Amino acid sequence: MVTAAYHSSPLERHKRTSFYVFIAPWLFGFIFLQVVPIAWGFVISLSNRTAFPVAVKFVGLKNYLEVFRDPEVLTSYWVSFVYTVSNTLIAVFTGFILALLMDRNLPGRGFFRTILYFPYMIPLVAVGWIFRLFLERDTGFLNTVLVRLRVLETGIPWMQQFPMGSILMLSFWQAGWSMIIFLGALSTVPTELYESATIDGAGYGKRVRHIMLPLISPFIFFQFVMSFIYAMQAFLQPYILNPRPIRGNWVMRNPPPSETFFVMARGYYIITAQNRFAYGLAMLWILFAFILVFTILFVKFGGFWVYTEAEERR
Amino acid sequence: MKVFARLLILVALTLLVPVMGQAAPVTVKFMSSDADLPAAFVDKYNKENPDKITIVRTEPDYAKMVAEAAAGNASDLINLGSGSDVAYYVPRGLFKDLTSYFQKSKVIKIDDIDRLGNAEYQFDGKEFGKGAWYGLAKDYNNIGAITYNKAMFKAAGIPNLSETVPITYDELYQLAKKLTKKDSSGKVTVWGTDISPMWTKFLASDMASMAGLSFYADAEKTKMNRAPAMRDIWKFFARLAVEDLIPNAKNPAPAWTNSNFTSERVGFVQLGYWFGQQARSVPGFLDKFGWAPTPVLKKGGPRVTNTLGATGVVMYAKSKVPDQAFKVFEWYMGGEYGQVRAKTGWGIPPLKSLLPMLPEGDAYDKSRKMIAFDDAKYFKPWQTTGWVPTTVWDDNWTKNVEPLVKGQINTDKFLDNYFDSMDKVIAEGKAQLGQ
Repeated sequence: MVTAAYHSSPLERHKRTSFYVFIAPWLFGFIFLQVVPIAWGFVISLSNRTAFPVAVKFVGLKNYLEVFRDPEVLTSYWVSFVYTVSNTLIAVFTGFILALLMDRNLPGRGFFRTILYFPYMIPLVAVGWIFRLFLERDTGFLNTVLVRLRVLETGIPWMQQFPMGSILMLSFWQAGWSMIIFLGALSTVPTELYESATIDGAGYGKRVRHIMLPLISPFIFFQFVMSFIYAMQAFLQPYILNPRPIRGNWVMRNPPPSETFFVMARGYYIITAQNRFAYGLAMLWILFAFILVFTILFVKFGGFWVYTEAEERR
Repeated sequence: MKVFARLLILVALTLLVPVMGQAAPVTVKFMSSDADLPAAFVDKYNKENPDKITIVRTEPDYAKMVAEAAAGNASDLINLGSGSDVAYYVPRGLFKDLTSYFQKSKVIKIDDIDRLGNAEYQFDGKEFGKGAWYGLAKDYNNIGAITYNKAMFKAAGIPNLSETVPITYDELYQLAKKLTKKDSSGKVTVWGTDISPMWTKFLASDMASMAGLSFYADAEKTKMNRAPAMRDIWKFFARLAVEDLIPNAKNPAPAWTNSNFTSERVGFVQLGYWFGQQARSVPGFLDKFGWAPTPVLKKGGPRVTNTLGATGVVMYAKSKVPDQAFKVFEWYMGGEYGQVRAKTGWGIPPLKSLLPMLPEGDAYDKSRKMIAFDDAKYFKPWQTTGWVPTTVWDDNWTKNVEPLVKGQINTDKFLDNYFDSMDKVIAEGKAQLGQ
């Protein structure tokens, strides 16, 4: 039992002081570079402020209510959600399959692991431009190959016809992150369990279903949550894989089509191109609330299918 | 302790003595692309200038400018994509009135300013070309003038265009139709012309002005004009996209207009004088490209062309070093760098005294200069409204024309959507000013 005397002892006071001194730089940064701007952003969202403040006044929740009446903004939320669900499923499923393959004792395993993870290390901007060139109608690699193989008679404008599909291709390309987590997860499953199950006559499918998946369920859960949070905030992808022609380096001045105008991208556009600070911020606060609520619900209800040691002990 | 304090004072004085009596160097931040403010000239200025001014170029990034302005520390000088945005920013307090500087300047004399080319940088709160000066065009262009590929014209059986008599927009449509080529699957391989959404509003403005029409239904410029005659003008551009005569969402081109033309994927473009300089990088440009003036609505009818507002330079209203920033402005517009730039032929210089410096060493430069000077007689600011920034026009056009091109809506529905979206952003812009 910790006594009051211990709390007020010189050693404890020294420890406490040291603790605050050491975290002071972070605390300072957190308060002034994160908490204050975030709070400022919220206050702004309750006004009619633009980039160039003229006749600024408090408008309460007007901007928030307007967001729910704005069909273009609602479309942005919807396409962000569709992208998020698709991207999460693609990344987790592809990562899992790749991890199963890479977990086998195959020759060149290390090499393939590196190769498969490599795309994840390339900056998103570079990957985006690679895909832009890859999917281009007349000179893109994809059409060139498909036309040469006579799969297509003529090149397809992929980005224009399938804007969401074009962006989702990046999810396959970047599944290396998920693969690495699954490889780590697979290494935590005790081999004795597989051996026992094999002796009892369980095939590969049953071992995966009854041993592997339950034991790695915390990792699957983690990936779903993290992937959801990140994908809802996807920002650069629609700008870089914008099917509209880009003049020079004006990548960020060219809004993407509604099919891929994700909520973060639209928020940026509303704030910087239309100069509507307050409205754009209200939109982004709603996005934050959506992610927060969804994550809480996911953690609350998702826990039923996740195996934990604590549960076992209970 | 006393010894320590004395020592500290001594050290401070030792450090201060060398700099006392010298004017403190002043930094002028200049937001501009490297192309419009080359590092070599900045370095030379910083090295030689007697005014102890250091120019620091900042990357032209609109979002950054908005963020900096919101924080009250935007660059002192700003390269503005289109001078017509002066009407949008001035009521929002972003730009400084430079009239008094112009009146005192020995480099920039108001009488020497080319009024038609710089009209959008003079604004009285309602109209361009009147009132206070907020900046100058770095150079300007007749953006409706035609550059065409002679070989492609010849292959299509089209004679070279006149350099003095403008074609009509109906003839332009026919030319585009003759030059457009498709493969057996219907895919466009060569487009007759390429009018990007960025250009559409400028050319539509010329057409409206020639027809005596306004983009707006009211004097305040808050509602789009939906009258049939005005609709027909917008329809002209929509039709080009629907019929695949210009790159579009169904038949996209690999790049922006200029590159599509120089890579021979487009028969002719309307980009104006500046493009002539860029096109010089194409081998054989002298014989390859021809020039024609901005088209008209009717043969023999009135001529109107515009400069898109001209890319220019303005001063941030809250600049802490306005005097020094204006010295840089003078150097940029009429000083050494202004003169060097005039000689390059990238655009018509803002000052009349610099006009003779434009290059005309070969027939190509002579043609485009002659056409530019001829078009310049008919300059009229494009019909923008100060309630919204210029780029919003392009975004609204693009997002509404795509469903039309894809066959999801008809032309009238497209136009109604376009007008609705413009009316909406105009109303928002008006509300931002508390009006």
